[in-house]
Amino acid sequence: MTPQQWERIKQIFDAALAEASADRATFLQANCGDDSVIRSEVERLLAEHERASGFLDRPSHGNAFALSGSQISGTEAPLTGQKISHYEILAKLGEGGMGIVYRAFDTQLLRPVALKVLSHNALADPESNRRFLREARTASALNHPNIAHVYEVGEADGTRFIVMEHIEGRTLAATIRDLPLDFARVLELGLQAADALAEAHEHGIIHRDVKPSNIMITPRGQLKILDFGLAKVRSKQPDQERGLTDSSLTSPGLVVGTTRYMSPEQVLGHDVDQRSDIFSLGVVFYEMVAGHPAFAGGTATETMDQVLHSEPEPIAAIRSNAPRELGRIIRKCIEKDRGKRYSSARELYTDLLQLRENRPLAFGFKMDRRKFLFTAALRWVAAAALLVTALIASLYLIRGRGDAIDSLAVLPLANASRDADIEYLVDGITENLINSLSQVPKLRVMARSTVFSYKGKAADPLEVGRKLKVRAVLTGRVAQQGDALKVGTELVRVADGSQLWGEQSTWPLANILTMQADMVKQISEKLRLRLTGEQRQRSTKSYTDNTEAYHLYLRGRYYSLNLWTADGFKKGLDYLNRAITLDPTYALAYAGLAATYYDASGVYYQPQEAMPKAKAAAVKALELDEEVAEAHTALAEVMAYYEWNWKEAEKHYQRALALNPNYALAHLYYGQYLVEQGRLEGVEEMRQAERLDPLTPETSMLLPLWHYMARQYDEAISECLKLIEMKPDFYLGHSILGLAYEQKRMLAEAMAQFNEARRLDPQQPFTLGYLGHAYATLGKRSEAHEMIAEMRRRAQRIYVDPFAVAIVYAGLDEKDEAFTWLERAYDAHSESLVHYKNAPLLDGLRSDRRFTNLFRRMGLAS
Amino acid sequence: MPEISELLAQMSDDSPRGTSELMARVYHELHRLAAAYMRRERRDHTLQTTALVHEAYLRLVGQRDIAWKNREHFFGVAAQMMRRILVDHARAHLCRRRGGPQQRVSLDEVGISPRTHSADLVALDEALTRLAQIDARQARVVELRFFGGLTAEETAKTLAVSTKTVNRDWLVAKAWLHAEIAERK
Repeated sequence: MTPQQWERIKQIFDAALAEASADRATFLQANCGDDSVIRSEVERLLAEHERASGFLDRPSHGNAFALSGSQISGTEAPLTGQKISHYEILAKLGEGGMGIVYRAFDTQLLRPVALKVLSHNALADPESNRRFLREARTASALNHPNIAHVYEVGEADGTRFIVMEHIEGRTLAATIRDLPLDFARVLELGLQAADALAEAHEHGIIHRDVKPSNIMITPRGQLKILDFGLAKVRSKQPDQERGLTDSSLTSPGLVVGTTRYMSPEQVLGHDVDQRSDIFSLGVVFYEMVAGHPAFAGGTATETMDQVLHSEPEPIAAIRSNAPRELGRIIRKCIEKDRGKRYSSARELYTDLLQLRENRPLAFGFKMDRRKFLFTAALRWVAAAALLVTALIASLYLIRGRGDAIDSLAVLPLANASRDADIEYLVDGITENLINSLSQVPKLRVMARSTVFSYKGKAADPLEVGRKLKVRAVLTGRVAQQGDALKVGTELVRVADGSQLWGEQSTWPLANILTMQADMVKQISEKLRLRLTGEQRQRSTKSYTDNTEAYHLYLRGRYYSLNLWTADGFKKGLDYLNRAITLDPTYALAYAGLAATYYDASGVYYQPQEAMPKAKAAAVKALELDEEVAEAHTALAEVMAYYEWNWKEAEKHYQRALALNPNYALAHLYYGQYLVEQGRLEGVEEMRQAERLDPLTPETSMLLPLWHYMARQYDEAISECLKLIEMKPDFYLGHSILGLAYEQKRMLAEAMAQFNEARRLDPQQPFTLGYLGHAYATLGKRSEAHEMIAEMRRRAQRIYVDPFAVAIVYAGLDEKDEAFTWLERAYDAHSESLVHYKNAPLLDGLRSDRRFTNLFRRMGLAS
Repeated sequence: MPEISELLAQMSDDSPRGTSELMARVYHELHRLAAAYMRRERRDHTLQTTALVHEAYLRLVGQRDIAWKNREHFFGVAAQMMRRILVDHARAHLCRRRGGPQQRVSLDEVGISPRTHSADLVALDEALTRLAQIDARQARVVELRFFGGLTAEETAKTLAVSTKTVNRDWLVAKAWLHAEIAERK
């Protein structure tokens, strides 16, 4: 049959269907003419058409994936598989007082939702209906990460439904059952809950039904309160919310669950305000900490009586190590007299926050507590602004002499004020200045990490300047004077110690961010450098007009740069996110997020979790402002080491360097990337990084690593020894030294180094891997296996890079196991595969076909 | 590798390179998702292919607004992928069974569940492949509508033909496929 014939067949078929069946024969006679092929085919198809009436009419619903057990047994909820409005019902999630909740899919907006189908008696009278709608409208206006969003209230085919944000996770009720909750967790959840309540109350919405089954915890530990503003629907009487006349009281099973979180005024049927929610939340807190409900009687009435009249056992009596403050906070929430409770959720939140910030020992914080008092920080927002103004204004006044200054080191400003709280602000401002000046072409500015190693040390600026090989050094001191800041700065020429300029100024409050642009422009002019219009714009960019956001950004970077601990990253992310909330166009903050996620990946988070987030943040940063070098670098890193998208990664590395040639880390990472691709120009990049930033461990560790990879073990050893001398507490120097010793067959020395590395930083998984490999080399197979076992144990709590395990198996020459774990590393997109491809550690596997195959799949030649 | 949205844009220009890269990416993503769903195996959870594809779409192109045309193209590709994934799964499932006659089920109940309908799905796939040799576009219509869950209008947009054409192709195809499958049973 020809295509033309087939086309004709289709047309005739279609037309024939329009005819009445009786007329079809004649129709065909008329239209098919002599072509019997066409006619017989059309007839055949028409006949089959009748039989195929239901065929393929529902899309291949992945009922291919469904286990039809529930469909057979009939326990399947009646609505599953159907559509309500534009929502496809997927599965039943549970039942509540008002109706059944389903997991559904919004086919218009293409997202999963939770859909509550209201039972008919829930909305029997028009008055309830109206109130319900009003409430739902207000609730849908709430937009808060800890409140389950209400998207829509609708009606279809006589069914009323509410569409809400779908939340993966477990209810708090389920979580409490697995007690005990440690205090840090209680606080963390409490803060989120209080924040959510505060938001709702500020919008005039009272929840009225706060209880553990209305609170969800996502797998990431985020708390979400459900069903805001919807509890009102149940009652038929406008003035008595869930009071004694509520029909639900007559069914004992339901009541007890609800009653014990009710506030006294609710029990009595009085008017409620936001303090009622606070009471209920307090009861929830109590239960989280104590492990059993605060008020629990055999019957509803007994429970209510307890709510009204009895005090629950004090927390301290149940858990002796409970922070006293926590007990006090809970008590204040559940005061019977609402005049004595917290009058607002915001107050409660602040108290909880204070508690968290002030208990470093209990909650494992390593900070000096004085540094991070939340309330103090707010005081200093203005001061921070002042500082930068002062500093840049000072620099503005440079009087250059003769030859241009083409290199500069900004030493960390000294904090001479009595208040240690502004330290990170001072640091951040120094950093800001360094960044701004770095973008000026032909001016070499020493990197932050290098100059910060001099912080707090009474070093002679000239000495530092000579060591760093710069022409000028800027130093400064900051002290507080009343409502202003006194800033003293000095720019000194290194060659002869002459003071290029010095200034002491007192600056009242001003908006630094607008002044900053002018200042930097003038600095560079004074330094006799020319800027193109574009470059000038770039280096004077402040990225945000919002001082508070800037402040949060500084804090965030302080944490994530200085504290490579799980907590440091978390706090860093938290502050950066808050900065973004204040200023959603703050590109630099997004770049900071990207860098933080990237840094934390592989150690504290699974790559699959952290890397996409890093990427998303970097992409967002670039969307907002393409010229942010940090974002390009972070993006390049993700593309290279997670996506194995080499070409694109390189583009971004190069762009970052084009934007900011003094960006040492970009040179470093790009160099590393090149070397791993087998391109030796990478070495020059790494050396350039070293010139720009000689004192950061990261830079100085790459050289010994490079020697080790190149199998130049003696050079590696001497570089490592230098590194260790500089930074004796940095675990990596010892690690690499151990690796080098191992290759030289100095196994006892190697073991000693690995053990030292392990002592210095127990969190690092690779140290265990190296140890295991060394044991294996020594022939101590059971010890090697013990290392593997320990890594597997650890993997139950936290992400452990599978590559680390593969290393040990490689040492044991158990090839199958080694490749199994390498494949796991592949699946996890572990960066180690790229970094360690050429490591001597894997030499035993190199000739195996599987090795070539694995790296070929990544787009890397072996 | 360019962004998915770029690839989609290229696809609309009928660039073959764009298509194959896109397909590779989409396939990878869908396969991963399908595998994840299958592993979960929750008793009362009904996975819908459309939901799966939508989710893949969201992941791959992000939340940004993509031009209508491109979205259709995406679904077009995704439908193809879904078909491959489902059929592969069905074949694998068939291999696992020990033998014994497949239960004959009426083709009209195409609520295909692995236990009884994998054979049907494979048969459908094979028949569809044969149909494609006669009329490629028509087979595409079936693929988009059945595997991709697109409506007639969406299918028409994707293939740049009229809805009427799509409907006609669909009716004829159903009859033809039905006959093919029944015949081979």
